[in-house]
Amino acid sequence: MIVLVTAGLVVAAGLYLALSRDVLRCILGLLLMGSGVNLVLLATGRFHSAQPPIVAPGATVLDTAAASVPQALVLTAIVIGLALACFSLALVVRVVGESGDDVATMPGVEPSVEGHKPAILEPEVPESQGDFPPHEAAGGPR
Amino acid sequence: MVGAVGTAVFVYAAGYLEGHPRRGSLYGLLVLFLVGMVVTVLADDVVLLFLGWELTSIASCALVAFEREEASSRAAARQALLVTGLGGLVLLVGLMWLAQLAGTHQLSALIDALPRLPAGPAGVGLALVVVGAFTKSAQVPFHFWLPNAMTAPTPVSALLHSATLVKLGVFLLARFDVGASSFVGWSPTLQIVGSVTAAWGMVLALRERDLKRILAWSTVATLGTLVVLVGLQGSQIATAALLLAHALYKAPLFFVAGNVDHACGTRVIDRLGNLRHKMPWTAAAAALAALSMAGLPFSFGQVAKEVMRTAKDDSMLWVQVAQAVFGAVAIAVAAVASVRFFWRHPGENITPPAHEGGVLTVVPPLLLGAGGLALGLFPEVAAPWLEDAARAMGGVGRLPAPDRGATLGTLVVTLGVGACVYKYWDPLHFFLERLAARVGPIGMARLYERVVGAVPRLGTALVPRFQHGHLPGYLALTALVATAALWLPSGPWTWPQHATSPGMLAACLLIAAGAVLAVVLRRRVVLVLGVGLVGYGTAVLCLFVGAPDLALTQLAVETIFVVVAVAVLIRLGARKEGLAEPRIRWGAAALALAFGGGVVALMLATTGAPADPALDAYFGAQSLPAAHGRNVVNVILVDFRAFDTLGEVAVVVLSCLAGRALLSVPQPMKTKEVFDNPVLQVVLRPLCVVLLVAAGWLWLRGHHAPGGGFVGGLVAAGATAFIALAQSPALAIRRLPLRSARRLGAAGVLLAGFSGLPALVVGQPYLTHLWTSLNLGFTELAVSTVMLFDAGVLLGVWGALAGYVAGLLSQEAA
Amino acid sequence: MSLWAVAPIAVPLATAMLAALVARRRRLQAAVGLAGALAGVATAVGGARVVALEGAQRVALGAWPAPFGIELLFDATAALLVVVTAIIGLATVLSLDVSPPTTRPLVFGLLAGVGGAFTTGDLFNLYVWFEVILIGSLGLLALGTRTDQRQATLKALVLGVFGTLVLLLAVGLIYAATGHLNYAALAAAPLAPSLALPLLATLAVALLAKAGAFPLFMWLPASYPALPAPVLALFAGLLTKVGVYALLRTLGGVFDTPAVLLEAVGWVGVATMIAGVLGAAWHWDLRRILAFHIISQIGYLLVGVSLATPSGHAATLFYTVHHIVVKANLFLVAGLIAVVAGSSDLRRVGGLLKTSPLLAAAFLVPGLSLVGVPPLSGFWSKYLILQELLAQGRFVWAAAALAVSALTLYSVLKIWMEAFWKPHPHPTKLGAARPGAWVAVGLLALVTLALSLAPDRVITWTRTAAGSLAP
Repeated sequence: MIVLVTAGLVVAAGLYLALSRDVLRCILGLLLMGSGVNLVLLATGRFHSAQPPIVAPGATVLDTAAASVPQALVLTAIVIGLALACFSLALVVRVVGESGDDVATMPGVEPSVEGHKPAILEPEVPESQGDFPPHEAAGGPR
Repeated sequence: MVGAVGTAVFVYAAGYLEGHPRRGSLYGLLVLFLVGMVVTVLADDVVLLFLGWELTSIASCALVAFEREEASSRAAARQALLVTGLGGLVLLVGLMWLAQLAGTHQLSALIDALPRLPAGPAGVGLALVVVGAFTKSAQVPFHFWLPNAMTAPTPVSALLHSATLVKLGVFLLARFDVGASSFVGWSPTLQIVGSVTAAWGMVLALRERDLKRILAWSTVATLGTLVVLVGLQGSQIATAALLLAHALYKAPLFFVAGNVDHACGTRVIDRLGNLRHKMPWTAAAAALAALSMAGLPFSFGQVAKEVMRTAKDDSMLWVQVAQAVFGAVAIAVAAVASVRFFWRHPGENITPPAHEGGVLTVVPPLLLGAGGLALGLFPEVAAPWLEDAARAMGGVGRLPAPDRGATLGTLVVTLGVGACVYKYWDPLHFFLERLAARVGPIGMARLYERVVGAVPRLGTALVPRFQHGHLPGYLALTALVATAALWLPSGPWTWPQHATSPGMLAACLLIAAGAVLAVVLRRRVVLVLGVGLVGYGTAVLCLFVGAPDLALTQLAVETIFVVVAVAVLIRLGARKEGLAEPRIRWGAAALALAFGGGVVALMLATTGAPADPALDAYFGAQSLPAAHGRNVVNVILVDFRAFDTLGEVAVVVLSCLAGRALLSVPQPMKTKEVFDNPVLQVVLRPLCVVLLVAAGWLWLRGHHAPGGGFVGGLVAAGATAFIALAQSPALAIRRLPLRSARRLGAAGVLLAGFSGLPALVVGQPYLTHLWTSLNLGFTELAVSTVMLFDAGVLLGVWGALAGYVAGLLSQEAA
Repeated sequence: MSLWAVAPIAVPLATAMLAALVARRRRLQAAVGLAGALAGVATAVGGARVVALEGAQRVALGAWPAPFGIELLFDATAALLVVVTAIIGLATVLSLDVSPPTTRPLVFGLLAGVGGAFTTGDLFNLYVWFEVILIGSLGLLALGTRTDQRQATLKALVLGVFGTLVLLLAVGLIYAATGHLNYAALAAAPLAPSLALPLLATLAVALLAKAGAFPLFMWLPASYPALPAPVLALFAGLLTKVGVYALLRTLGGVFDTPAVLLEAVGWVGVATMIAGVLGAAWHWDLRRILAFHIISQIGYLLVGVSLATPSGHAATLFYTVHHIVVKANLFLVAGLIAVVAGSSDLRRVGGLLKTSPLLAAAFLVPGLSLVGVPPLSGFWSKYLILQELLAQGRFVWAAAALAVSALTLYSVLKIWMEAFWKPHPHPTKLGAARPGAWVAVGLLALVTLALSLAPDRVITWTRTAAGSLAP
């Protein structure tokens, strides 16, 4: 129970940080969220036993022990998380390093988004040929 | 009809486009178009019909835009394609719907089945078909694209927009008429729309000064008349007759317009006159064609009009009025086309130096016009075809012998009105102009433009709202949706049963403290430390819940992370506090708490029931006997679920490759090293040896006790980290096996993957691990592909992490 | 036997690692890449033949019986998608030119992840392959050095990691509820009804974010335009489709999905369709237009997923295959246009019909197919979906599909008119593209044409595949 609440707290803290405009806080928030989800995964084992799932020296099968599958899953998740963390850290270093004043804010408007003018049809379209098209310059009966 | 007019068009086009560089592509497109026409006309399958339909639309779009350098051509082509394309789609849905109701895709069967279908749904399907046909045949309110399509070269206009393409809609309606006429709305709709189109089209012809556009509007009007005829009962032969007559007189008139344009450079009717001297053949052709159009005696047009008159006798008053207007203006148009250019007319008459365009441009119109005359004199020649067509449309009919006498009266009247219209063409024109100026903004073409213009505007309104570029906004939206999903009703919550040991409590407090620290305090280093504390807390928790492997790994991971992160931060000289933000961001906090809460809630709902122990039980039972390992978790990772681990090592190594671009290649340190501490230098070598040995030991023992490839790799990477910190990253990399982090990692993955292959040799599935034992004299050593696999994991993790550590630590200081 | 099922992952992964080993030697690396791509196609086709002859293959890796070990589910669906993936991989490799040495390893890593996602029969394994795809795609994004490319990488990173976290959460919770991870076991041991909705909804949210559905698609237009053309073609063709496939497999096959969730997915699909095509209408940059088209077409696929009938699934599969090929092709053509005419911005190019008729033809095949002009593959795809929509009485959705088709026509016509018809505003010397790129474009166009002119065999295959979606 307490584990669940803690996990929820960590996830919430992580998301809060991730919603920040500062790059480093955002990335670390994501990593924190990852830790939180790992806790959730661990909790799926339901903690009935605190005995490590290692077959005792004399036995052939495992006695009552903590659930083994969630642990394996969490281990995989941790390592994957580490890989992503390294990559994100490298990216942060790059971004912070390049942005000159070493505080990188979250990018604003998509950089090459076409201005704020809509891409309406250019005036190439002939002036509207309504049902009453304009008459061409013409003489007429005087 | 398609064939005859098509041939004429080809011949004409040869002459008209002489010297045009892209003549070949015109022919090609025309052929494509004709194929499409034939397919549509002959198709008996819903899909085939649609195929031909769309083919003609596309070919016609390409043909209209033949002069593609001109913006107006392109715009007109776009308009034509969009309108007819949309109509085609509507048609498709209608046809599919009807096909589904009728249970067959075969058109003839479908049409036969129409009367038997339930009125409501079938009516909807028919309405869709009708709309589609209307767009193709330029009926009101889809009429505006046709005159604009006159930017096409004249031969194209003659073929497509008078004789063939636009008749497709009428054709389709005629085919459906057999089965659809029993539907209550069918006839009135056709008649009303048709007559409105007929009258309106002719009126609008008066507003034009360009001969081709005048002809185009009169085509629209004729199509309207055709639609009316389809809608009338028992008028099939009239439909057929008018179809033929129109082709025979409209095409030559277009050719005439083309010739005039070619010769004089303009088609505007204002100034040209007296051209008969310069272009006698064209004048003759025009006269012949006009004869037919006006319905004068001895022309086929008159025959057609006669047949139509009898058919329309019993139609509504509305229809008859419209037809009267149509007839009168038609005569005027005919006169304009033939008389106005070639004879004198009120106003200025300029006769530019013109000449005939050559045999090829003259013969086709003459032939077609003469054909109209011939059939007028001898209608019996055409009768069999017309009667066949009429029967196909479900009617009976005979081409009646022209009753020349009785029609004379009506003829004179219409001629008279027509002549008046002709005489007052210009005044009428100006009158309508003034009217238009006041009523202009309402109109279908304007609507088309508003719609077409609205699309990008809608995009403008919509897109920046979502694609604003602000990352936290994106994340917030995603998190919001996820939160909504988490909070969906999930059933009762059950508090978990297990006891909480004080150790667990302490660990959780540690974790919570770390989280709170990270959130509350501003300094970046503290942030990193907070995250690290959460990790350490988790490791402690793992110790207390029976997960030693996990604890070990988490510890190693967190240590490496914290050390590298802090070193990087210090290195960069990054600002201590990070971006200034409000003390508490309420919105983000609310969302975050909702999300976290949702996770907890869903967990409570899910973990209430006891877990299905199947997997754990199996692994617990099989781990030692079948997989030769006591450490169940490790056995799961490298044996039971080895494939997961393979993927995971791939992630790790790929991550190293991915980060390559972001990190500078480790250079030998030029500036002062980070931790230039003599004690550290002395201790370094033995420390690394110890760490590497530890890594190896962890690897070896992993199968029976906490340890394994991961932790081994992490510890080995720790050794590399120390070298990098204490001496130089470049040196650290050089000390690695294979002398490159990238290569080491890749080799690791390959080794792990390879370890699954020997199984295939013995006929087992991939990744089945094989065991054998080596007798070493004093002990039995169990050797297996598992060791290879775990070694691969170790090398992969070591290589990847070493690459990162060295790369991150070699960033130049700010 | 298990070799055929493992090949979609093993071959690209091995190629990736080998390419990483020889990264210093460009020529050798390129050769390794090409060999790997060809081997990929060969094994994919071989695997498909085996499936055609012997039926779906279920390989229990490590000889541990399902549901305990990880199982590979190499059925008709997987085989079809694997073949298409291999073809796209080949096209990408052919179009790659001089690029940073980590490009090829990352591309093949990505392909391995895609292959894994398509063939796996285990839910957690699916998550692992999604992570492989994520890191591969991030790596390729990170190769760009311009500021806007870095920003694109950052956005893709944050949103991608969040998406996979939610996926992991969903997988973990499903495991907590059922105790199983294997598809067949999950299908046999259904979720408690009260739990099914939130759990599957969470799973759906994660997969929808991966697929680029409304309103979670923002990562796509933010990151795609920053990529070079061949890699972009790879992303466009495959990444989102993996999400759709996963949705199809889980919601449509493995789990007994509550009808309300399917309905919601359908409406999301409609919104996606419309948002995508309107977004395309706003832009002038060719790659952004095409990026939004991806989103729009994903909408069609999502609508197909929600039509939870065998014929609906068959239609979805056919559409998926068609779309993968056509989209990759279009992006490659866009790359060629940029090279030949000098820019991706439609306002700055023109006259291509005159200067490069081959390019025009190369554009027309996938372009018209995208719109749905018969007899091309796009028409058949839309036809099948429409047929199913009408059969199920989904008129609003059918009307939306129609409207979006018309708008797609408008959009493709705009590209055609701007790039090919109108005269070039600043006629200068035109660039020449690599022959490899042309070969790739030709290859994909051929595939589209084959699909267009002989759809029956593929349609029959998709029918079989749809029947075997549930393990």
